[in-house]
Amino acid sequence: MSSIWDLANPQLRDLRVYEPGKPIEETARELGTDAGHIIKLASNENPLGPSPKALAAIRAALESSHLYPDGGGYYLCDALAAQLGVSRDHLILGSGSNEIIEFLGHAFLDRGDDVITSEHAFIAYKLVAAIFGARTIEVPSPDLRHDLDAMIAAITPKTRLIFIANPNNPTGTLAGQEEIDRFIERVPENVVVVFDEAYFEYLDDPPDTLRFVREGRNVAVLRTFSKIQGLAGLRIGYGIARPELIRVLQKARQPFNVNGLAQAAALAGLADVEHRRETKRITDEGRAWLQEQFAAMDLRYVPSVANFVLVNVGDGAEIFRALLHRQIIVRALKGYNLAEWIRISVGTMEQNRRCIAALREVLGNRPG
Amino acid sequence: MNTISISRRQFARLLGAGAAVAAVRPALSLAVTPPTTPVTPPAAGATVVRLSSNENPYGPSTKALKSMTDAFGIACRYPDAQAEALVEALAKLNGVSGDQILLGDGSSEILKLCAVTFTGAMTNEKPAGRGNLVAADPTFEAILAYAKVRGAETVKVPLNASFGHDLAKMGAAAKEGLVYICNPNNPTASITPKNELRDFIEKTPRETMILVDEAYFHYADSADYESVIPLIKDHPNLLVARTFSKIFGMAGLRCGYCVAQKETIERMRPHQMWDSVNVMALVAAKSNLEDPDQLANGRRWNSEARSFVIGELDKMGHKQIPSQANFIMFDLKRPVVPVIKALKERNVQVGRLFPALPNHMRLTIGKKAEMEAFLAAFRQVMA
Repeated sequence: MSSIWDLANPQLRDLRVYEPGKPIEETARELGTDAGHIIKLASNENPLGPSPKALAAIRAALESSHLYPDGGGYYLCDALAAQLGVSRDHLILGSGSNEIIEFLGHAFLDRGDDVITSEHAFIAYKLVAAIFGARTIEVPSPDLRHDLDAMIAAITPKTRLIFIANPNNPTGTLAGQEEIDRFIERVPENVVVVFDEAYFEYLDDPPDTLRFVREGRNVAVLRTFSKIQGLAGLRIGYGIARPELIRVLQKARQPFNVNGLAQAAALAGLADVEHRRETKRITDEGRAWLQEQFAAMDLRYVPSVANFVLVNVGDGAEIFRALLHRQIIVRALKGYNLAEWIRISVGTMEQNRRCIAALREVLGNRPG
Repeated sequence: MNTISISRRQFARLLGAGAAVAAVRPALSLAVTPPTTPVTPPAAGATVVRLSSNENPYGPSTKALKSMTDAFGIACRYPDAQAEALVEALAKLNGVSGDQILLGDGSSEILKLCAVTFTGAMTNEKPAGRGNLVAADPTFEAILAYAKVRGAETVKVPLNASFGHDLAKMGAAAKEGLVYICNPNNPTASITPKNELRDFIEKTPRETMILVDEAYFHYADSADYESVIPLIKDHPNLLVARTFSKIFGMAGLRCGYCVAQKETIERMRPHQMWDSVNVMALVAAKSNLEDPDQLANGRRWNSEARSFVIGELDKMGHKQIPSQANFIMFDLKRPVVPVIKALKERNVQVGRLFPALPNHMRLTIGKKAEMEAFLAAFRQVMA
């Protein structure tokens, strides 16, 4: 046997493996410091953590750790359905919303198919296309916004899925209601449009995509408990689509994909409006302040509607490393073809201040 | 751009496909949907005796429970560092390197990844390294469903007279692809003898992958049983799945893993989304491994309750398949389905029907009090 790649699917050969935000523990180890000194603003997590109600629910659920979880997430789906104004058969749970992206691949993608997404869009879409041997058509977005007209123009007879992260990660930009409405009208019926709305709850005036689901279109909306709900570690997200489409996705799901603690935490967190409001408040405040600081430092940034901001620092990898030495983890974006930029998640005001102070130092020290 | 003005109807015509539905991959429409039935709460005042899912009634180690409450502060963080720490611990435990371990959202995810990576439809464009799935009958059937999702042919080979895997027939049925061996086997609690399994692994051509599911490994104490993890170093086509759902008492937390050669793990890795195991499961699994009492107690308590219930069933004339697991399968001498139903009405849940053995019941070994509750209801039903 010469090389393992002779056996593997050829499309996997050039696939870039997903690089998560650098973990706090790893950074602490490398810097020889205590994890408590490290500030991680690299993965768009909620710096306030989960709702205290969610933590109480986890504590209570620990005593059923030994029992297989409720496979379909009956009670959580009921609560979500009531909140969203759809019926339970419009919902599917995933071990993180990234698992639902995988279900979509299982359901619709084969070798030779096309997937359309934006240049600089969340890298998961490209990865899932590659897993199933499909081609990804990346539509250029010169101003770092989705070009929905160009996405329509890119549709081929082989196009199965279109992924639109809205707001987009890592750019933080939003496609508005009118733009989306016009887009949906022109998408052929045999193409499934996926709106990935991981940052939906941070929006002041979110576009309504559930209306397309209610109209019976081939639209899937993805949401997560990893962001505003602060449950990234627990792994739980969900998809909303018309019942027939959900039934298709269910076939690709393993029976106990979402753990019992995550289900309990999500259900309790859903009821905590106050925690969400406070998270949004500190995010709005922190983001506005960060953007002011970038403007004052003459740095180009992309005005964001999510819990992170993309800022142009000239050499993203270099600034990432320099900040790391000052115990601050941000995200370099070479993998997104944004080598000049870094993405900074909004933290608590204290974390934001330390980050900006370090950034000023680092940029000031940079040889001209 | 001209295309902008094209209406949806025109577009459909342009594509030559007026289909109103998206093209679902044909294999998927044949696949089985996992049940989404809720956990039915018992009638007021009643307690359900759950002996249906081969769970460990004692749960995880107290150290594991503590490590989870200690992790509340990192619940909002993606769990990459904790995954790495568990991989290291498992590598050390199994005497392999970290790149020979792949974690899964339960060992179910490992089974799914094996099906996705190594099985597929036998068409002219069949990707290299894929083929059919061969499994025993009866066995743990989850992997059959995953293979069907990939459009693979599935072959079921009946267990032999001693309820071991019929390895000769399974080998003959394999067309590259994947042979799945559950050892000890669910639902029969029986083992496939170590010499037979070793021979089979030696003889099987490298193009055929062999997945040995050792979910119940810790409960097996027969001199005729062994783990095949030590054979991995000589066999790039051998994979072993392990789980934290059984003796480690973590079925609700979802954590399992795969051991194989580095190159074999590398073939599977691109098919997995990241962060599939949650932080609570990761820290609990690691603490569980560090608590020697978890295994010793789990084995002892299981063996005591199992001896008790076996003794009672012997008195009633119900022969069991010799059990090397935390469940037993015994001959009911009548169809099992009505008995399952009658027990359920008495708030006792037992294993489902396994069509290959319609007169056998699979019973999980719970605490002694649960076994007594089962026996009381069972005597009523059988009377």
